[in-house]
Amino acid sequence: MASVSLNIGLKALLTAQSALDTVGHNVSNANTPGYSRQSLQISASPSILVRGIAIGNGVDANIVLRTADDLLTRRLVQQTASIQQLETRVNGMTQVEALLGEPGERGLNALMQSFFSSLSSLAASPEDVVLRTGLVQSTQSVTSRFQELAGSLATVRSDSARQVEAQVDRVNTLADQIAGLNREIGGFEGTGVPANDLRDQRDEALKKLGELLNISYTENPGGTVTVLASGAVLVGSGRAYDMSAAVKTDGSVTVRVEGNPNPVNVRGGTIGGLVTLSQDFIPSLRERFNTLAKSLIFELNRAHSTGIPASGSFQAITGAYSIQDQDQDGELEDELLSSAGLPFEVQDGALYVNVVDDATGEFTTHRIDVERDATTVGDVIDAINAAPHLSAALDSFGRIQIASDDGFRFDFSRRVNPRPDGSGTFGGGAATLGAPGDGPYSLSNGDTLTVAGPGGPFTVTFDANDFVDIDQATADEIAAVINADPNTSTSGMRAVASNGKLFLQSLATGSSTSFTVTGGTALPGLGITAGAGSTGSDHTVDVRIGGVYTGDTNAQYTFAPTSDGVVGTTPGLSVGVFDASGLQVATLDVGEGYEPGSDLVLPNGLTVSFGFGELSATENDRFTLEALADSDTSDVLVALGVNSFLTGSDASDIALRRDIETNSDLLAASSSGAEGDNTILNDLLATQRSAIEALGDKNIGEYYGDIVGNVGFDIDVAQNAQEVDQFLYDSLNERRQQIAGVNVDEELVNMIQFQQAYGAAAQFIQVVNRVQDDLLSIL
Amino acid sequence: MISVQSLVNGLEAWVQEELLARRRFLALLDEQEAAVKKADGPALERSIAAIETELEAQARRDEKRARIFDALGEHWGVAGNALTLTSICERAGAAAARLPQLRDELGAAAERITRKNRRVSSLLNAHQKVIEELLQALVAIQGGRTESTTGALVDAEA
Repeated sequence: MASVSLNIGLKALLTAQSALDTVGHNVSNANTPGYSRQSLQISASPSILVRGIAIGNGVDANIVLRTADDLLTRRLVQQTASIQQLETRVNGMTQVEALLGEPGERGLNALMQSFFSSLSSLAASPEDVVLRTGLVQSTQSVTSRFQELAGSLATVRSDSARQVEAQVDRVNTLADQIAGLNREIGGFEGTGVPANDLRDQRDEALKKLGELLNISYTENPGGTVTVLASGAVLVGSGRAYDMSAAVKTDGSVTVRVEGNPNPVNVRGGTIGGLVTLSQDFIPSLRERFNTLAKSLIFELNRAHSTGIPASGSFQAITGAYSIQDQDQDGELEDELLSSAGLPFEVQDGALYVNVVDDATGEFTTHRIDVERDATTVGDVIDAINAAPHLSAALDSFGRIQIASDDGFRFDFSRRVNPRPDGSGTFGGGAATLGAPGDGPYSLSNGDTLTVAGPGGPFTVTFDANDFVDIDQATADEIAAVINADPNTSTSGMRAVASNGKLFLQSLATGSSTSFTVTGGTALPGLGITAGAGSTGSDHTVDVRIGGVYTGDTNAQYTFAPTSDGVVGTTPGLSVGVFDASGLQVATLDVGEGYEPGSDLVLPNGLTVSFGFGELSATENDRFTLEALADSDTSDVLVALGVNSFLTGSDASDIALRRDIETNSDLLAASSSGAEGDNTILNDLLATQRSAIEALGDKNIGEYYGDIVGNVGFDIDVAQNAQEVDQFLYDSLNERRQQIAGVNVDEELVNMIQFQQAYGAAAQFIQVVNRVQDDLLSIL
Repeated sequence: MISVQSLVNGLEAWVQEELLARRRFLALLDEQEAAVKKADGPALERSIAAIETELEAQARRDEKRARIFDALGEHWGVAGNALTLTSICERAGAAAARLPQLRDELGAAAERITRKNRRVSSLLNAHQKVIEELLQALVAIQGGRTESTTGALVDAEA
């Protein structure tokens, strides 16, 4: 019995000694980061049986145990990753916000305001050289700022990516450290003694690792931990696996872990924050800037490309964008406009080209139809080449070059032709007979047309090979065949195609000139009866158009007399005005009482006047006027970069057209070339307020405001989340401190009470939310 | 029928009352947040009880507001629940000169509460989850099952 008593006393002493050691250890490590308070678990030693009677054996200082709660430690590691990720993101986003410099003089908003203000000033005095230079400078400020921002964003992105590389080195160091501690803990605890200090060191290393990236870890039976980074094993039971980061030239970064074929998707910790900045935030912001810059280029160029510069219409011009050989066949002209590698898309529509005679100032307008998915670059070049006095080709860079013959110029303006009856098919001095209907005309192979012209009779035979479809022969095709026959001109005749209508016309003018259509199998198809003819006149009806077309869409007006007679003389003589659908939109009284040459009002801001002369409904006199609201509905000029204002295609390369920088006379201010005409400047100015589809139906200012606002909002959201996460971290940390020193049963009861209180509080939170929603709804 | 001016005056008084109530709400939510963070059970219970009292008072204020809205709606021939403070400011014009500013203050106060409420809500959710896991871990220890990977809590009273 004595030995048993002695044994009890010895154990009590040993227990007290161990307790004191533990307390001392706790005190000396009080300020060690991550150190967990240690305590003794005291329990009754197994009883000793002495002759069948169980005798108490005192207490054992069984083992020194860590009181750190693994669960809370794990939570803290997760929380640390989240806080660090948010902090890194907020830092990066704040840096970007500072780059934007809003609001401020160097901010894009102020610079764009200044640009539009310069445009507005110039619109008031379009010829003012100082104001032109001012516009050039303010445009350069805007484009430079775009480029600067694009460059800065690229730098922030690549800097973030480089920082990932540096942080990955820290990850590897910590992973090695944890692997080493794993080995030590495994060896130590294999002897049955818990390696508390080593575990604390490992916890601290795990926390530090959690600051760098989102990790999860599990403890293995031998006391070692396996650490996973987004599913990839970073630390196994025996060793650490090397993490690496690869930065691409575009600034994107890929993180990999040795032995893992797929990149690791790091979303937490400092690395997660840097990756988020580099992969999501900055690319998204850059994309929005690019969209804004692209829309600005498109909208301004769309207005500018159809304008006429102060230096006048063009003699030669080269596009800004190169055609790409997308099908790799060595040919550029066979590329469809929609897939020629151009930065801007074309639409189904038409381009109108005016060819101006330098000597007379008169011009003819040529329409080029464009189908988005059918028209090739070569088709556009061919169509331009088909217009008299114009030529087009691709230069060695694949850019379109357009030039006019000497003595001629060209432009793409929507100006109204003031002398639309260039062919004299409406009361002209030459004898003229028009086909009663518009083309196409139904002819057959071998059909003939016989005319007794002023110089003698001639017969033209139509060959199907000269037509795309002879049954649907166009006025242009028929006129070309008639004019190609040498007998036609010998007979003093020619054929004229005007806006899809065919006219036969004498070359000479005056009342002594006449011709008669005598026969031919083509007559039924042309709608002309045998015996029909025309006599010239000594007076040409001078048709003049005035005013500015104010319609919203392109229109075509055909003018035709309703009877035969003399302008200003014949009672009841009138001219009908028909729109493209054949609907009569106006009737102009030009008979007795009309003073020849006086203006008559047409729809949409236009006027027309008719000089003295004879009109004939019998001979199908008529002319057509193109009234254009948009002379390039196809956007082909923007796509090819012809007569552009800006060049480039996104924020990184947006720039003022180089030759405008040095010669502000190349700024296209007018749509007519007339002095004081500021139509194009007003169109450019209108882009400031117009809702743009590519910008989500917002205008330029609103879209930019959204970009800036979103950056601020993103920062605000991240800061809020950071604040909440920090609260959670502090709260969990406090909880951890409390748990490490309480009675388990007591804590259990407390926690159950807390759970109930949390439940009640959460319910009230819902009610409070509803109350706030109700209140906000009545504000 | 009570004049529009009188009703607007009543409405202004209601907004003032609401503003005070919002301030009290905000203070209570601050207390609740601190209680959760410090795991201070009695303080948490006190804040819950105080919020409950506030919510009861809220119902009375809502009724008062609805009565004023209905009366104003009668004046203007619209349903009371179709009115908002903004539309009342527009309709009443000079008679509601101080109302726009009070409305803005009330809006700002409501937003502050919503934000704080969201934060306390996150905090409560996180704590609830942690406590739930802790309880499971503790029950496992008490029951003698120590193989759990959720950690081991021990009596530290050495």
